[in-house]
Amino acid sequence: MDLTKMKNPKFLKELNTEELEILAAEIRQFLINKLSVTGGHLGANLGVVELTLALHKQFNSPKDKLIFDVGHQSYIHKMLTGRTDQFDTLRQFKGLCGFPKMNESEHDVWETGHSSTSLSAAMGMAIARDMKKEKNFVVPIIGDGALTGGMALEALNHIGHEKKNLTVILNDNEMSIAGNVGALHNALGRMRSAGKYNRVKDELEVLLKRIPAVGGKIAQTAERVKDSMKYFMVPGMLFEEFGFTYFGPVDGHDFRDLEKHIAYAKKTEGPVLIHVITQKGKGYKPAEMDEKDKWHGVGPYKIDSGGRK
Amino acid sequence: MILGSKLEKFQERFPERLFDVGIAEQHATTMSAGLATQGMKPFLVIYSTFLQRAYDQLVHDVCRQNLNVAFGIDRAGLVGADGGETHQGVFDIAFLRHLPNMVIMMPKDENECQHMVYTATNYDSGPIAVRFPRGNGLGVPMDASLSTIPIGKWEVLKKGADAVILTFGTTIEMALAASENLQKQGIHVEVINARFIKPLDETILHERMQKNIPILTLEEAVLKGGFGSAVLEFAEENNYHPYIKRMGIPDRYIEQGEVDQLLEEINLTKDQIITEINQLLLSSNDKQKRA
Repeated sequence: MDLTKMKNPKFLKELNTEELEILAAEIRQFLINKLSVTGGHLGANLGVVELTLALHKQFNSPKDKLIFDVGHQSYIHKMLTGRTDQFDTLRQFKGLCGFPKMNESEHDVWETGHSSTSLSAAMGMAIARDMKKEKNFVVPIIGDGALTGGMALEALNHIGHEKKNLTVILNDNEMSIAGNVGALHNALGRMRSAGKYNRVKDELEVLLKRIPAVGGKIAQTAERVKDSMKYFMVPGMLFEEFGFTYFGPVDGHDFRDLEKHIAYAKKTEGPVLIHVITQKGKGYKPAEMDEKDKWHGVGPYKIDSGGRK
Repeated sequence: MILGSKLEKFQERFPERLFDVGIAEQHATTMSAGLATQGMKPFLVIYSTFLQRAYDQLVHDVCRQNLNVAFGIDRAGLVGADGGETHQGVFDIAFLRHLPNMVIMMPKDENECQHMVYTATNYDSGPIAVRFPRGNGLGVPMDASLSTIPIGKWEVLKKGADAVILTFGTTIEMALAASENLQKQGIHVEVINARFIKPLDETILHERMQKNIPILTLEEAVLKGGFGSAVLEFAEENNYHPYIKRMGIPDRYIEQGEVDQLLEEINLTKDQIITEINQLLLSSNDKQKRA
């Protein structure tokens, strides 16, 4: 399709999975071509093509608030909201901003640049929504690198305490500009490898309830057994302990998987975290092969070889 | 801090409107920004010393997006013995003043403070801060009705044509006392309540600087990048060359002690004001003689 005709993401609601896949391929090709001239955050954006399409299909921006942490992965969002024709000026003087910018579009509800701000901003928006007795979803999209930022952890602590309705999308590409560091990174690694979860927990709860616990010491032991079984079965227990309902891990390049889990999340009360696994640079071999994230923010490059111009 | 900042009564009356985020200044600041994007008017109540921890959130989230967040900066100035060196609230002016869109106020007493809070509530052009010291109010009568103070408008507390003291908040009292003493020597010193640290009252500054009246700035905050620096910048930007002397907190960390002891130690006293005014007048007269 003519991508410059995309003015409002509402049209996505009419598309089926096959049509979305075609559109995703076209968007990828557009970004690879355009950024080979202007440079830009290629890897991060190629990683979130399906995710951004799925979010814009399932939520109603700008009523629902999509908040892109860091913001350099908002190119697809910018394309879907009527800015495709401005990509020749990306990151240039007076040109299209490389980050969300309120004065560019009503769909840019929060400006970013530095990492780890999205959860706090989302919490403010959720509180405002509830005070005004409005109904909408607040959807911060945060990477695994940004989640290690101190403010994001402060926000997790508060969100879990207040139990507001919030739909956190954890965009886990196992990569940050300078390599991810820390225990949280390792914990995410374990969740990733734990395999499909798909609300096993509910079934598990039923199962666990069948374990007889009459009282006294035996009951306590049974509770402990239940708890340790939960830890064993539920990959996102870390987030569950923080007060979130965890969904995932989800294949961030599979529309069916994404849509199913976003739909679950929308029906769930309280804070939700969808753990989405994506691959930075997806669909462009030189960027996919990039283990050191040299394709994070790139200057102009030769499309065939990936060599720099 | 609900207890520290005496918010218990607010919490009692509006439990659903008060959010205690724990020890999380960065989150509190950016969450306030998030609230403001949705048309709310959050008041972020935080000690001056702890607001330091949220500098990037001030720069990147609140001021850059020019959001209507109101700051109640508690414990502004020297905090006395129970906080000490680590808790002195002396840097906030310097780290807020250079941020575009920021408005900074400090009241002379609790009555002006209530009008400033009202002003902040009604202000919808970006971030605005009311800084106030630790301790009790002065016991002044409280106006029954609230009014907004025009942004950037100072108040003349005492008239005088020989020199002018620009000051605000806690140091007003010693400035007035110094001016009274000097009057007995026949020196008439104007005292101005510079209640807006940013923006400055440019009308007053233009008038005084055009007349070349010697100026003393006085603040219980760091000199480097402080209010006095703002007055110097104003003179430079407008090509005025008045005699200006700045009094405030020197370029070092201030240890623990009662506030009066500390002010004495750093020469922020009535007597020093008198000395400085005399010196300013001497220099100024010398210049006029030479000319």
